[in-house]
Amino acid sequence: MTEKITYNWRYITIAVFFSFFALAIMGQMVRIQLTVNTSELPVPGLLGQWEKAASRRGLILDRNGHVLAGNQTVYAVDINFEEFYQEGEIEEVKILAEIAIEVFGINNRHLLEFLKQEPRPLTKNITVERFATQEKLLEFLFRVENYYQNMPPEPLDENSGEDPLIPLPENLEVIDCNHLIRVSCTPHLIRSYPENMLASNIIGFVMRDTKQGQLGIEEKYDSTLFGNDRTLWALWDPHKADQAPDPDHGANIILTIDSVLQADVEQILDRHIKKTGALAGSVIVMDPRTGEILAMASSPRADINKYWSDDYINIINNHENVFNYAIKAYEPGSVVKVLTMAAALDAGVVEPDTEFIDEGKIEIGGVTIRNWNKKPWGPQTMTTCLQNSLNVCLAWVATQLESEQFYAYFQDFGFGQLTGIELSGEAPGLVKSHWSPDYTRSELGTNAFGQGIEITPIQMVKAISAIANQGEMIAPRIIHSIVDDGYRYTPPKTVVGHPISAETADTLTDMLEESLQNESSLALVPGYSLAGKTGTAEIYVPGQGYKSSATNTSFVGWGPTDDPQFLVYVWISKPSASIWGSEIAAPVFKKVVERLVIHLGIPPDAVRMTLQD
Amino acid sequence: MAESLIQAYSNSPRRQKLQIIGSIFMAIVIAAVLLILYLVVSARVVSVGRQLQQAKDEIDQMVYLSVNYRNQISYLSRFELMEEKAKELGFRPPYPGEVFYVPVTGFDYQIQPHVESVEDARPAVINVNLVEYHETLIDWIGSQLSIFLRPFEGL
Repeated sequence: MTEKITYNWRYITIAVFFSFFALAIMGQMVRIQLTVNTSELPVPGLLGQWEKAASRRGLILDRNGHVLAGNQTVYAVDINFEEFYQEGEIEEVKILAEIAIEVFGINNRHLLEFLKQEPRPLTKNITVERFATQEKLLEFLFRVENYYQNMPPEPLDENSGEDPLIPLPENLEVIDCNHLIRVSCTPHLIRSYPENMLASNIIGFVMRDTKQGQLGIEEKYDSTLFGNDRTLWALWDPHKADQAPDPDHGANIILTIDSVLQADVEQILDRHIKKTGALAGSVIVMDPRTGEILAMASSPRADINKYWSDDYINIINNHENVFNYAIKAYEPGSVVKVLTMAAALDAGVVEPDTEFIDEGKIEIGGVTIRNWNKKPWGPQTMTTCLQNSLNVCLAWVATQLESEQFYAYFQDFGFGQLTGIELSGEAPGLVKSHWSPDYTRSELGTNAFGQGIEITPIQMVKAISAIANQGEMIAPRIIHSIVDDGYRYTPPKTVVGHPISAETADTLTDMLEESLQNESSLALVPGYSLAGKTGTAEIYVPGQGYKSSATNTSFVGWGPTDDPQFLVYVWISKPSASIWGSEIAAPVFKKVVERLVIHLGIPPDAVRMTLQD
Repeated sequence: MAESLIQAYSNSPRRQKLQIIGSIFMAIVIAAVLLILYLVVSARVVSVGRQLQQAKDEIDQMVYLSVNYRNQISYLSRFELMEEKAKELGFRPPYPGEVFYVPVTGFDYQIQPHVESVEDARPAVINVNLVEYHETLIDWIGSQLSIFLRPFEGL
């Protein structure tokens, strides 16, 4: 019995010993699994680090895939001055600060004061440059390393490339500054506009500090383009590797713009503005069948890569808040006669050959309206009224419609309403109606020839599309597609109304084709059938009334008249060479059409008829 | 008789204690085996986690690099530069009268250009569905067992 008890005690002792041993091993396993030795981590004492995903802002491309707005890798350069002080390396701090000021061209007053202050205050990390380009960073690192190696600093050859505008570092690899103690460079992405000024009035720009889109497409589609470079606290723990942020790139936007045509139109507009001493201008080219804007030039323009430059303050932040003249409202003048005549023909109050005796003046609502040359023109048809751009005749046409019908047509043409073009800052314009409290009947007469109302060029293009497109009014659009994560959305062509019948549109097109032959020969392009109308509007000066010395000159035209494939609107503001639309805006139309028929491959009418046969 | 003998054998106090001790050892052995398996899987997860962290870093680097290359291509092919080079080579824009059109039967000149960025329009094919990312311990044991048993299949 005693022997058995002794054996039991031994068994129990062995069992307890092994149990403790096993439990100790298991406990240690669990401890290792659950606890972290922070001294062995990449940054001692920290369980993780802030990580930012390299998410790029969506690209803006033209209709052929040419990049208009892209991204660029730049670096935030930090210097840890505290560690220099701790090591007593005062001279190093001075040299490093001097190199940074010289290479990065630091002109921030506070930063300069800090870098030049002696003795320098104890501050940990100082960001000496937030947007250092690859080229500048390489130069900075080269000079810092030269200094450390006690070599005389030699600047990099900046002119190694043919074009100083092109950053041409030795390679495009992402620069790593880890080999340099106390200097860190963190890559991040900023917006870049390779075409500089091209289509800048359409694109807008992105603020470097806030990364917010301003003006144009950048503002309108800010949330779509935005690349979410979210910053997350990512743990070193490999079990939680999935917590590191993934890049969330913004959607790409493809515009309807053709950048080659856009460049041509911008060049034509710029040269003409310079030649005529004008203040500003805009040219829109649209495909009236689809509403796609093929070019939208506006002058003056800014280099959106340097939007902060003093040179562009007046363009970006002017008192009229105009960045793109294509969406600015103005009094267009006689181009509106086209729509007045369209309304009258459609309502059946006049016919193309309706006779009107022009006596040189007409009184409407107590106001006397006169022709542009203040003279009577005698017997006229509706076609010659347009051809000679007679204010008196068109004012009379408006009275035949009467206010209610006249403004109902203007409402149908979309005046006083936004067109919905995908650009930030579109003006709705201003068109009164007969029930407006401050409306006077005289405005029926003046509105008929485009004075006393405010319309944007893009509204005019939309309204005229109804005439060029057999009564079908198309919404203008500048977004061809939005591409996100492999999926593409293409907005459909939108018919926004039928303000006039197809017959009216055809009749008016024939009238305008005929009148253009005589009214403005400077707009004609040999071989192509075109319809169009000039416009000249006096500019209202507060306190002085309308001044005939300062005008807005316009031209609207389309072609080929039997199968319209382009619609061009020109607005030149305050030219000094001449005040007439037929002399200022019409030649711009001609030059633009000469370029676009080649670019779009539209053969002359004779050849086209052969092809169609 | 036989039943009473078996009962007497199994109910003897010594046998009962040995059974208890044996059970404890068995439990310890099973726990140790499970822990070893857990450690093996855990080590694998750590290894894959490190690979994942490294892959994410590489993705970031590639994004920065691709952005740089694309930006460089865009700068080098910008309109202003292309026009300048074309002029240097003696080219100039044509006028409508200088263009000759040759009618070709069956050719429709109004065909719109096909606007599509092949790269952007194609659905992205990115393998984010790594097995290790979603594998449970039981899945892993199952897969390891199937690997272990594969040589014995068909015997």
